[in-house]
Amino acid sequence: MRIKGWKQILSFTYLQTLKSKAFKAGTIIICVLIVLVCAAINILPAVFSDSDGGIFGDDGEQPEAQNVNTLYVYTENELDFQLSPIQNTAFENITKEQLETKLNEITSGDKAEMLLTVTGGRDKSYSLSFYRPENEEILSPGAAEEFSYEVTDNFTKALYLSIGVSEEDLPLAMADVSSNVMVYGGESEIQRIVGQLLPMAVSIIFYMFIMLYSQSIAQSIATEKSSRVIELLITSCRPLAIIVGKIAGTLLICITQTAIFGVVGAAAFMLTAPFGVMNAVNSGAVGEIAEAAGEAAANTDIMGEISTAVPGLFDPLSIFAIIITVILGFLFFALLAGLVGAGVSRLEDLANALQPLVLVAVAGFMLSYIPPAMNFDGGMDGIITFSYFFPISSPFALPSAILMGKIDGLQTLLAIVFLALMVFLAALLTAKVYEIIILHTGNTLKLTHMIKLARKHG
Amino acid sequence: MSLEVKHISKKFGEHTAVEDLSFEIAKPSVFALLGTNGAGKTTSIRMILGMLSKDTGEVLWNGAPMKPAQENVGYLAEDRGLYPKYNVLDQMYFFASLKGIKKPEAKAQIDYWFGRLEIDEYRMKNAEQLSKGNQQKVQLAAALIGDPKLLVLDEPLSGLDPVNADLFKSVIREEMAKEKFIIMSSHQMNIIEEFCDDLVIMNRGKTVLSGSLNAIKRQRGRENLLVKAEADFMDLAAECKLQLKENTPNGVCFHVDNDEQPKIFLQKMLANGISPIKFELREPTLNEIFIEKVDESNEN
Repeated sequence: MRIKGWKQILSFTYLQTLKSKAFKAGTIIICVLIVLVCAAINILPAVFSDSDGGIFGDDGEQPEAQNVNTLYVYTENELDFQLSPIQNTAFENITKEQLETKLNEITSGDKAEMLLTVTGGRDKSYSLSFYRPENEEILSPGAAEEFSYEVTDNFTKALYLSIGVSEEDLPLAMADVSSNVMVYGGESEIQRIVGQLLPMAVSIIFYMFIMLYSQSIAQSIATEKSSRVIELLITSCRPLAIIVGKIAGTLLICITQTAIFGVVGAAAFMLTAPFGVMNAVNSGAVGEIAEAAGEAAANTDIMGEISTAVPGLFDPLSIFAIIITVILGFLFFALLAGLVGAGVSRLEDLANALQPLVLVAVAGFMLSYIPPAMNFDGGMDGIITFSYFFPISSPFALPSAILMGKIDGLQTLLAIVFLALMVFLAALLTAKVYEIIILHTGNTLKLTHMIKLARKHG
Repeated sequence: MSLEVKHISKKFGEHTAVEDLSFEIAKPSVFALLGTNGAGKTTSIRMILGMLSKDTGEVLWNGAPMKPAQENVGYLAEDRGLYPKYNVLDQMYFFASLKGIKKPEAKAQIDYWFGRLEIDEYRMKNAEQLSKGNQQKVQLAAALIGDPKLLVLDEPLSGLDPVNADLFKSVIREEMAKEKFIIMSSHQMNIIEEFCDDLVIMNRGKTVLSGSLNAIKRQRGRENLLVKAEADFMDLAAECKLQLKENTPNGVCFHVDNDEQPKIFLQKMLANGISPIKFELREPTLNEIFIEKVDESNEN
């Protein structure tokens, strides 16, 4: 079938969209948002940790623990060991009678002093409580906390030494031990979280892209019909060339815009990295963050977990399959949106006419992420597999399944071939119907009517 | 070169939009497609240009089936259309590219037509910023770009002021001089009479009259008598059994049945001392023929 003129339509659609104020404004606004988000990801953690006394302060340095001049120590039971001294901090033992008076003095006082109560011991676990001045200008909560870590650390070391652990074995005795409860061959916590969030995130992103650009095709065709330009165009080329050129042009716009967002995002992330968390990571502070949070993050290979949870992220073949799926999904919905646009005579009827298509797409979108998110006992496996092959859901379901390695190569290939077949059938329907209805005026045509027309015209 | 339209028909559901329309343009000339609103003119044009499928019949260009997308056809649609938000020059280049015209050639032609149609200053404006008349000029330029051999002008002068109507007429004459095949549809019968050689009159999808305009007029004969005089001559006209058609400040128009009636009437006027200021025996106008044929068709 000759479709002379589609390249000119593509070029015109692409260039005029690039020139349009809507495209420029939309792209700039989203780029600004991307820059802000990237900057926020880098900078905000550093800003917030600075403000509360610093998991890592300026240049990643800790607040000085020796800001505390005196530490008053009350022990419920006599200790079998001595606390190691801390530089510039005097340790002073107090009695039970002095405790309340000293607590009041420290709380309302104007000196950088703290009080430690040690309870437990004698075959029971120890509990250390630290009290600091109320006035944060005298001693910041962050500095007090850092000081408490150091004292606790010394306390633990002294305890181990007192029960016979040698100096050499001390680091091993004090090493953090992390634990994780899971089923053999099953998912870790990170994998489980990624498994729930990724399908939703991927579905939302692809749903927005596919529907946004499909609707712009419908609008463009409806505009040509309502402004009567279509009559001039179809004296020079077949209507099919118009829709092919328009879809190709819009796909190119989609790729261009995605590339702009990608470049801006990467640039913003790299440019703001020196001011934020990446700098902290580079300076070795990441271990301290994890420690402060009470986690054994330093020993945890998060990237390894992510690569296990999202294997497709690092596989070129998987990325290629995702790109093909998204393009096919776009073509499928764009062809249907093109038909909707051709079926209306007035631009104001377009929103109503698009509603069924939007509902179908929403159903596909829901089908792509709700079953995976609720598949706790494998009861949704059948529906999930169905969503890979169902053309309205596969463009949203397949990418996340490929990313997470939930679908094997053969199934992926079959699902893509099936989607391509559906696109081909949609293109055949469009080719037959579009030429018949493009000059239709009057009430909006329903899909059933369009199919009847296609049958009537062979 | 020739354009042959053979027995084309089109139905929309139960409604027959065009029924068995046939005509031929054998040589470069202006052909008129006339009809009342809803007569099927635009549907016929769309079938000729391949925009609409035909239920029956065929359209031949140079003896072969017409393929407008592959031919160089200029079309000025009745429902004018430009992209409202895009600038005029970009649109012109786009329309030229669809006709396969390279950019340098397109530029030369756009420059010529924009100058000729006096719209040079609007080339960088968006279409929505132009007046209707200027948009119409841009669309005429779009139809003419590529120097098409077949030109279809649907109501080319509607909505134009007299100055711009004259400009359009001069452009149409220029195209006639280039030996183009032009199909023109219009409700302005004086325009059709001014330009057209052959015509078809349609009513409710059916052809009610077709042929050469001159032949049709000759066939009808000089059946209109226009008389103007200082004195009253209406009683004498009644004596001569002249049928009053209309009474205007320009004179009184009668229908005459034969050649003798006007002679007898003139003799009686002179015998009664009435000197005519105007005494004109003329063929029926296209407007009169049109109304008469449409009325006849409606009665049937």
